Amino acid sequence: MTAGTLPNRLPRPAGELAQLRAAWETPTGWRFFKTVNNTNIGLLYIGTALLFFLLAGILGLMMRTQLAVPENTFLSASTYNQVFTMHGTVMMFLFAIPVVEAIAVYLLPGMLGARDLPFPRLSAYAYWAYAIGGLAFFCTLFAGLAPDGGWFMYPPLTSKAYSPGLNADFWLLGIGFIEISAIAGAVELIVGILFTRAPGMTLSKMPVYAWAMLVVAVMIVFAFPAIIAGTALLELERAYDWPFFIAERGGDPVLWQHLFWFFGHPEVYIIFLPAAGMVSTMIPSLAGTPLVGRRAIIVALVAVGFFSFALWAHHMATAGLGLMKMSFVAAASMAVAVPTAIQVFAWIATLWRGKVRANAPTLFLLGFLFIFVLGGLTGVMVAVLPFDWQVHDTYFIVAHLHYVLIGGMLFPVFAALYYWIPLTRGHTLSEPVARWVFGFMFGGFNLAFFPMHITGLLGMPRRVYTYAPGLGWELLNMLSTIGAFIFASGVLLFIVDAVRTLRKPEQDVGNPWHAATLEWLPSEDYGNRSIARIDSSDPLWEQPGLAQEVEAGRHYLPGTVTGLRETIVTSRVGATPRYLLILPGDSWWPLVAAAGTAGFFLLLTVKLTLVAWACGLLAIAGIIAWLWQSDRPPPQLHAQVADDLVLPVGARGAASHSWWGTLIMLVVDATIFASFVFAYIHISMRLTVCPPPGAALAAPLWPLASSALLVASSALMAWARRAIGKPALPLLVLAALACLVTAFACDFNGHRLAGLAPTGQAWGATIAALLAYQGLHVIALLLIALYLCARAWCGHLTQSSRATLDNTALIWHYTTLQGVAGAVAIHAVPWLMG
Amino acid sequence: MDDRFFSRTWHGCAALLAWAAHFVFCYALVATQCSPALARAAPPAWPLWLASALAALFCLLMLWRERGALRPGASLSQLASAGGAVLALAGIALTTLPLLLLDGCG
Repeated sequence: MTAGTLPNRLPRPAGELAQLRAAWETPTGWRFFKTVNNTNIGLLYIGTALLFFLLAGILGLMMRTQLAVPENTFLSASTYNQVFTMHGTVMMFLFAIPVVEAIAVYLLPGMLGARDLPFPRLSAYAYWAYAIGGLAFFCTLFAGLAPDGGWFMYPPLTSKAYSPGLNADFWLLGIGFIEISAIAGAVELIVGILFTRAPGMTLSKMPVYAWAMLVVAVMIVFAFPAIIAGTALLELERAYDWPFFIAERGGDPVLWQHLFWFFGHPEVYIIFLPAAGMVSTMIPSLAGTPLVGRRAIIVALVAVGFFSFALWAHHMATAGLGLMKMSFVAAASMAVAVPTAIQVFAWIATLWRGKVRANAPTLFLLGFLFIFVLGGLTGVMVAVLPFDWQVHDTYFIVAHLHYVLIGGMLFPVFAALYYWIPLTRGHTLSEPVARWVFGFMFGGFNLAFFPMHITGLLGMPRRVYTYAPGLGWELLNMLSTIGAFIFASGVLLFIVDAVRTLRKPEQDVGNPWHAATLEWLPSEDYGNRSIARIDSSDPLWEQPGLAQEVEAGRHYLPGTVTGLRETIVTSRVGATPRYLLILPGDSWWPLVAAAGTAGFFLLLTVKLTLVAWACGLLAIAGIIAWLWQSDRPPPQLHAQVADDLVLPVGARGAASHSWWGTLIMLVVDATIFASFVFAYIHISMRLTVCPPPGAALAAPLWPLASSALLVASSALMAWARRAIGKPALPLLVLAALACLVTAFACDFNGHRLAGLAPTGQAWGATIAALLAYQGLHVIALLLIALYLCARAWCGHLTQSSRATLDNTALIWHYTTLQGVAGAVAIHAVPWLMG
Repeated sequence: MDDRFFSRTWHGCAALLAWAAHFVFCYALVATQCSPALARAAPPAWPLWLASALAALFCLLMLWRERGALRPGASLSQLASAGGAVLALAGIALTTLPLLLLDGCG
């Protein structure tokens, strides 16, 4: 691209840059905590996730200390149960998933060339819910109330009969806010990646890291709902005696395993794929050559995303599912190795083709390749069913999962920290210290976890708090403990070096690794001075003057048109500019709403019901207050973002980012509903007669009436969408609401007359769960409808500010669909079973 | 605005979706046939073979349709479609293997 064809001319108007700075200025002092800019939130998020890594690491060291010698009394059995449960839970839920989302939230705006992602307040909410809730959850350990049923919380061990305390409830309700946080992050990432890429950054030119995060975010949307449904069912069992998992009342503990691992196995790839994306971004810079097989890697990422969902049951090889079914899953476990291997070979080929220097990120990447390949190989071993039957729940599995997770995620994350830390204050970490850090971590890791393969083959089960002498496990356990402490000293040394480096005075970032991606363009709070137009997948290599042009304001949107925070929305495939998106500014409301959400879940656990509901209301009030400020008519209808480009300000319907955000949330919603339907089908299929003796279906009149009313309510909402700006709009919405509530009342009454008894047997409980989920939607729509009417009465619903109405209609139609689908499912299963 | 996003996504993922449909069908059918209400000593395997043949045929058709994917200038969507078909075919073949080794519910 020649300078003459750049989007904007020089000189730029006086005051343009100052106005841009003012719009994006980060608040200082205690007001910093109301920041919503993703770059700031990303840093807070990464820091908090690393804090949880340290805390969970300390728990790991406590476990290793206990197991160093036989019959040790360092920890009691009950404390050990809490410690290993919290170690796994915190590492998986509070470190591994959050840190990969956090790094994405921090890096992606810069890498995509956006000023910010589309929902910064949602990101802030997700972060604060995670941070407040996560810290409170961790503190249960100090009160002896931490969960103690293992990180996957299998019933019947975690049922009320065998875990009568609050410990299991803390896990079930405590991770509720973490799930909310992860899903909110996924919505932000999907819409951000599809909508806010720099002009010219087509999907085929998009960085591989962004591809990886897109795949991961979609996986979160489909995987997390299963655990949300599972935790809801187990908590309903514990709190109200609905026996979903109690075998003597028709329940099935294996149902929990299905729901948990349908989340739990994709989760492994949700953790690994971002790391793979980072590796694919770092290796070309470090080797000084484009990524070999770039497009094959993208295809492999998508294929791994698909295959990973068929692997859930390979954690259940000893649960008695049947040999044929298990063989299908074993086959899928082997199939997933193919696309994973494509990536590994591509990385090796890139390193081979380039000129690699043995700097800190490279060392960690080589460590990753070595450890992860070993973990992958033992993964193929345990995919062979007879072998898995031998090593199931032994230390062989502990070794395998740590090789996969530490090799596949932690080493790449450390490489990423070394690689991207200069973005924060301009300094790289010390290379000599990095060699020691790597040596301690790599050597310590292998010393700690390699012997566990042998300990496991010798028969040592996982989760035992001690063992008898003379079993041949002493030396191996002692080696593992020494290795764990060496590994920890590497982490400690890294922290010391990071703190030392981050205290240095800020300096220009530059491009220390000669990287090709846009996050290395000069940036401030507003991102880049102007939004780059790119024409290559390696823009900084193939457009050598890009940094200067962007900094001079010669590309798109070199200032703020409306005086507010803005970014450009581009088309989803070709990345051509479509409209100017006005972003919300800093606010306390996301923090208030997040504190209310965390308080609701945690206080509900300790039975402080009134205070919990007060927190819940605070969360709702916070969300309403934050939303009330959004979706207003734009200050102007069009904006000039380049000399020859004028864009509309905002968009409506399917072109709008908020419509997409709502749609993705509804996919989450539908997947939760599908999980409840699965629970109903699973429990029904265990019966020989359905409905079981003593239970009955509702008479067909009631679901038919309910479905007719639901369709009527949707029709009224469709009518309301056409009545914007007219006084009839709120009346139509209220009429739709009346139909909806009556529809639910019909449904409820039908089941009541049929004698539905959720505490009697699991079959009835699963129907009650489906009914309750529909009821939850009716309550949510009641609040949303009243909110919509309030906006209409205040004059905030206009043709140029109608997102609230459009999105409400979308939710409404989904609820109709769900109600009808639920009724069909409930009646169809017994009919099909004859 | 749309620039055929959904049709391109569908095109790129079609073969992998065929693999997913094949897997779900095989697993669900065996789960149903082997459930307490319907348990049979030797449920027929021909529906599984038929599903495997159809899914493999679909992937082969996708491959044939995108046979130019490795030529210079081919789009990412073409490569995704062809690459996905190869991987899906491998997945379907692996899922079908147990049918050669096991009978009924296994």
